Amino acid sequence: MDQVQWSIMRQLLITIVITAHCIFSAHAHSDDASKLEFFESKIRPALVKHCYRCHSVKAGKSKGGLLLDSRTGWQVGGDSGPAVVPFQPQESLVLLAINHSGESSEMPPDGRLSKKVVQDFESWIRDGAVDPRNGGSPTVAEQMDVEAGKTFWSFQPRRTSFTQSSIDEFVRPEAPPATANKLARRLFLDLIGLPPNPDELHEFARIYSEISPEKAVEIFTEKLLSRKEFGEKWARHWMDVARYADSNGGDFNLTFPESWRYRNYLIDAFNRDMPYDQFIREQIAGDLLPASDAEDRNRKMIATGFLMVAPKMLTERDKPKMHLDIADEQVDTIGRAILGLTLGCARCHDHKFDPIPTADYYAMLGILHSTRTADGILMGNVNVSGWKETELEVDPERRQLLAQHEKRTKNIEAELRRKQDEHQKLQAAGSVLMDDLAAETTGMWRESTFRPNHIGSHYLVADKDKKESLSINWKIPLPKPGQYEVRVSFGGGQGLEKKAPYVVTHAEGKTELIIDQTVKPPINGMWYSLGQFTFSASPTGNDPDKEQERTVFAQVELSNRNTTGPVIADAIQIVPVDAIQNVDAVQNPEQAGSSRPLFVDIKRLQTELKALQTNKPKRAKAMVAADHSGEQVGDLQIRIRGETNNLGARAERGFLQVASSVDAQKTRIPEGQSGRVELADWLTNPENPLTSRVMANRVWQQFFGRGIVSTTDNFGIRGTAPTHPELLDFLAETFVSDGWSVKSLIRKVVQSKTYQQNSALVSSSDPENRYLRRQNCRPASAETIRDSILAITGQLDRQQQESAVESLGMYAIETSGKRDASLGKTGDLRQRSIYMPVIRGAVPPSLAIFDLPNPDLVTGTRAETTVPTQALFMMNSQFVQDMSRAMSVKVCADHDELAPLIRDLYQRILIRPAEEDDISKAKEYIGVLTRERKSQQEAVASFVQILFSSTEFRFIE
Amino acid sequence: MKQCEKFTIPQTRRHWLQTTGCGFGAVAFHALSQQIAAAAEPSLSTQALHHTPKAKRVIFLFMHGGVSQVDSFDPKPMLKQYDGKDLPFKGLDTLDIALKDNLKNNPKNGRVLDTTWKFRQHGESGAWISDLWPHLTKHADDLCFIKSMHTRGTSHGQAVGMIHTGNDNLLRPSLGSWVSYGLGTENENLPGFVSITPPAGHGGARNYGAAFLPAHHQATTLGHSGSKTADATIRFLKNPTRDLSEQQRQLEMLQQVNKKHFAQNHHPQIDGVIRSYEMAFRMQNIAPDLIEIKNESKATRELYGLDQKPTADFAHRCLLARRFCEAGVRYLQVSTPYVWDQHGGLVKGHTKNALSVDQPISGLLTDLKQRGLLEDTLVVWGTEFGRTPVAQGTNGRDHNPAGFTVWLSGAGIKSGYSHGATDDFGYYAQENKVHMHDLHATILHLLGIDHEKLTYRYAGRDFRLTDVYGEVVKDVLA
Repeated sequence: MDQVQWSIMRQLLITIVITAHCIFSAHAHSDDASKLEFFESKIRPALVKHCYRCHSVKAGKSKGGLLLDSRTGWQVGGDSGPAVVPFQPQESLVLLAINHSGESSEMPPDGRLSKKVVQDFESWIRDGAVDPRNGGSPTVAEQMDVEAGKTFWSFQPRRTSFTQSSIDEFVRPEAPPATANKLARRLFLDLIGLPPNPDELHEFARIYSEISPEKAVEIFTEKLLSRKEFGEKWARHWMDVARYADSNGGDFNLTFPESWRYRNYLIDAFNRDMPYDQFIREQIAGDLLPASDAEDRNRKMIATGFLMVAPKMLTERDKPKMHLDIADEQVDTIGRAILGLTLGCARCHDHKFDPIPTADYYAMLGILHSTRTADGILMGNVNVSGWKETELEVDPERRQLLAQHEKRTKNIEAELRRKQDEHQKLQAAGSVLMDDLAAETTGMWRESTFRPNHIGSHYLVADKDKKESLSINWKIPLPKPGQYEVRVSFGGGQGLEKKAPYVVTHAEGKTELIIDQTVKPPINGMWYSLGQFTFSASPTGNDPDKEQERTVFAQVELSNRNTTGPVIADAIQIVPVDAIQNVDAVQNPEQAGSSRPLFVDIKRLQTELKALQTNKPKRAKAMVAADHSGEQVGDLQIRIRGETNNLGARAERGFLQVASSVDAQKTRIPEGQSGRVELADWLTNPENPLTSRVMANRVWQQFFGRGIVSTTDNFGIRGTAPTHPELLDFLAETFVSDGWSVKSLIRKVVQSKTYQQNSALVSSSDPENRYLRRQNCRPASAETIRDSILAITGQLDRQQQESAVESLGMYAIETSGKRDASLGKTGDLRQRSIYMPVIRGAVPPSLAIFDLPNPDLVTGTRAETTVPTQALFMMNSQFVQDMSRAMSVKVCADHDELAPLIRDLYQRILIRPAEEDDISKAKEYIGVLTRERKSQQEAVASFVQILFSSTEFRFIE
Repeated sequence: MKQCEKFTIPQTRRHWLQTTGCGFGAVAFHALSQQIAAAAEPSLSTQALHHTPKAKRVIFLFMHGGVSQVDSFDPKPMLKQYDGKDLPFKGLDTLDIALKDNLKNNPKNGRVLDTTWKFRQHGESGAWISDLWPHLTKHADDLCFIKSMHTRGTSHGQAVGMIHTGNDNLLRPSLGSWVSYGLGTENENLPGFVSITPPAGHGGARNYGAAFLPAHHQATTLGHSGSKTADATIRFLKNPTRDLSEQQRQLEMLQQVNKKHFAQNHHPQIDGVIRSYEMAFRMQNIAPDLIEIKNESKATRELYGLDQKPTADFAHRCLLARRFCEAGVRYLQVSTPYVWDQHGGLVKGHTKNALSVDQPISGLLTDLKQRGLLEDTLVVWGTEFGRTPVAQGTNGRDHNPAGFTVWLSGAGIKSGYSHGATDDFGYYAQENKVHMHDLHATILHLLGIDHEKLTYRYAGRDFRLTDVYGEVVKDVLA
């Protein structure tokens, strides 16, 4: 549809150019020769010299899709349209580019052409752009054939009838089942990420041998699926594709104090086996869906954290670009995570490999662009954007707490207002105050709040080592001429300047006063009087009529001239002589019978109010997406080559044509809405060929180390083909018909013989085991290694956690690098790994080293690296050593004899009985260490560390 | 410790590369083969390069915050003439200058600000260097200035991302990780890419990360921006309680346990882990000596300025860079803290910052030269963007991505040369403009890599450092 609009527009442009050309041909015969001559002498050489390098057939380059080596080349133009419009220099992109006045490009890239050459181009175009160069086939982009694209396997509808009826019939596994120990360990680690304890292992082995391996798996699958640890394992897989993090990363690495709610939402969703279609709908449009009660509403709002936890360039000053970038990231994430498509590739041009036209991309981008993600400003800086947070609905108890707090705040505000009114009355009595902020300063004064008795937010200091001369000038407008007392504040106290030079300018001239600032100010502990002066409007000569209008000023200057100590400049108070008593009485109510000076009261109230505001009982908030309103909701224009200001045709909001049925293509987005509800409907439509396949494949991958499609986030043409296409459809189809139940799908997989096979290597024509004639031997994940160690040693904190970054404040990592808070502490944490802080750029090393994915990227398939850093971690980290010691303390207390102790260690850590040579070697090792005056406990700890570091512990067989 | 090689490996090396998550671009061969797969296999590096390299390694000196070109290397007499006046043309729209309320009434704000420092010509080449850099002047004839740099992003985050990864917004592999991926390490016991005190903010780890390249190409870091170099170390390198001989015994026992496991199941990944323990142990023996500088001679300490307060810390970083270079690390970055951002206090700030790095950098160049290392080491001095020739406040300059200066020195570089120019005020790059992508293309070129051919397939697309941009700046090549 939009593709069509675009193509029509393009046609239209070409027509316009050609028409213009015809007009020119009709009336331009008389001076053809001179124009040709002009082209040959001025334009062609310039084109050859400066442009052909990147825009000619000969150079093999047509950057920006543009050729300039033939007339047709510029007539058709590049990605931005025709490059030259004859007679219209201002419309000609070539001229705009070489004149550096265009929006998108400045040509040539390595420097501006001379003014003369630019003028030549302008004349040439104004005269009709005569160009004798024929030939050259214009590079018109091939029209993308979306219908043809639908024949690719992943866009085809799922099969609905199958020649086989179970996983095992599709795969035809050949290897015998794994031993009871290995199978139990595999099942536990795959389902809950923790190993079986000795009792569980015993029970599993009993059923395995007494009944059958299948029965043991069946019984334990049910047990494990109902444990809360299941969600804590499986939510983490979704967090990989949802690029979950607890901080923004990007430019300003700010903490996401509320992102944990989304993480816990995911754990809960997997534990309650939320249907996958609902799971997706809530994450895309939860804030817009109907809710049954407050809790349901909160949950659905939190689900949109999926859109919110992305890294954002919050300091991007080009805000339209920032909003496009954010929406782009969301579209790309939805593409990879849910559809297995790299939609981001279609931002600048039609997708090079998959049948996704740019218009489809912008159709989806419009939906996300109509959604509020970035929101408001941070730190009072218009260049720094914040993100949308929404208050959640609260329970009655909390509501009461909030109300109490609100009442108290109101009382204090009222009292503060009363005192401030009083203060104003003072001013009305003729006393005038001016703080340093309103004065004019020269030089670099330092702001300070060290001395509490000052006016305003701070006072200024000229430090004693200042070599430059600093001064400050208070010019204070007075209500009328008259006699006033001039007072200054400087805090007073040891170490200050004893000869601070003040100059007062008054009706009689200037008076210089040298004041000792170490003196404690005598008036109410705040003011020091410089004396009484008369102020009048300065004489204006011969226009007495205007005398009335002129303002009266009192002027006081202070500098660091001839000083040796720090000079303080704060405020000036000017009091009419006849009002002194009144003013001081109100200011110092001790005289008036009350207890405190007014300004002290005001200050106290302000402090109290501030404390109340900081300690406000938090109304729980979450990162929640919302629709924009008004003009910000709507379709987007295509950005040609992805450039913010390079506008193409409008792309009506919608979905991918290649994965849409005819009905879906007709969906219209209601007026004033973003379209996320419709997007969620489209994604989870049972007929969507991708959504169910992609998720079924993700589940499969967790049990075999590789998906049926090994590129789990790319089901496009550049992805890998499925090894078992029918099986994939079988799984996807059952997944949908079982109500999108992830747990049902898991049951099917683990209860297959295919899953239960052993992993022993067999000689085979399939060395990579793509066809699963045996199980794979897989490295245990980062979380499994860490959580298993904690569980085995009895150190695991099994509580569900909330925010992992609460203690970090606004910055997860400060730009100055002075505090690197997130790095040091995580070694001491004992909660499950899923609850560890995921700071972008500082993922806990115990996880990052073992391939926890970079949270900036959607990662359905983790890298599996083997690097020395992992070995260094196992050998040297405080964590592994602490855990080894803890384990040693435990087993040494349980056993007096070495042999049973070693058996116990093998049983608990490697989940198998120790063999005789294991025991003898371990005994020997521990023996050597104890002979070298190590304590038994230290020696055992050293051996425990060996088992934790062993390949047997680090792999799942 | 080499016993494991006698085990038969039932599967191919190809499998290895797959299990470690690597796909390979046209040239890449890289660290992994050396580190894990088989020490027996010869490095492919020399055959697989696109052309003969001039440089074997790179030291990248990163000045974080934005060094002012018109106060350092790009003299503009017009600044004196226009001091306090308006520019005769329009500045960048995206700058802060006009926005700051408290500066609106300042008459100097947004107007041309002359430099405080005097520029003089130095060396036979007559290179212009301001008095801000007294030590560097000794190397005037070793340097090649590019005075027409421009980049993307008026905020630090974007521009810092550009200089390190070639992207101002999205996560991409860093320059050093591309080099590690392309060339591997010269010393199999050390990583190919080391970053000393890297920036903590403005993208932080992105700037030395591997993004979607295999993870081991990310930098091994020493400390972080803001930490004291003397305390910086490689994480988990030292065992807090056990000495080496004790650890060796433990490792031998571990390998016995592992080898029994391997003998039972023959999975090649298990052999890989066994090797990784051996390599870790070797690294643990070598790296601490490399980081320890106490045996450096008095002359060297004086050369770098290691014993004076203002220069001590950066001198330490530069000295480590030389030591790592010598040991065979391919790509080394040394960063200043985020200190160069003088929106105000330009004179004081730039004076202090230049003082702390000028002698160490000059010392590094002298030291590399003395040791013959400068012949095959490329030194790059850069900053994320320059600063405006107009004032922010009374004594500051705003960010300027439209025109700034970097310099190169060493292997394959035309020394005593200056390339490109900004306009008469030093605002916009004008002659022979060099974009950050071009600088990246040039650095790769000097290492023997064609920037258009060093690619990595991720999410169905072949990525490269320079995206779809970049041209080698041939003019700066010797």
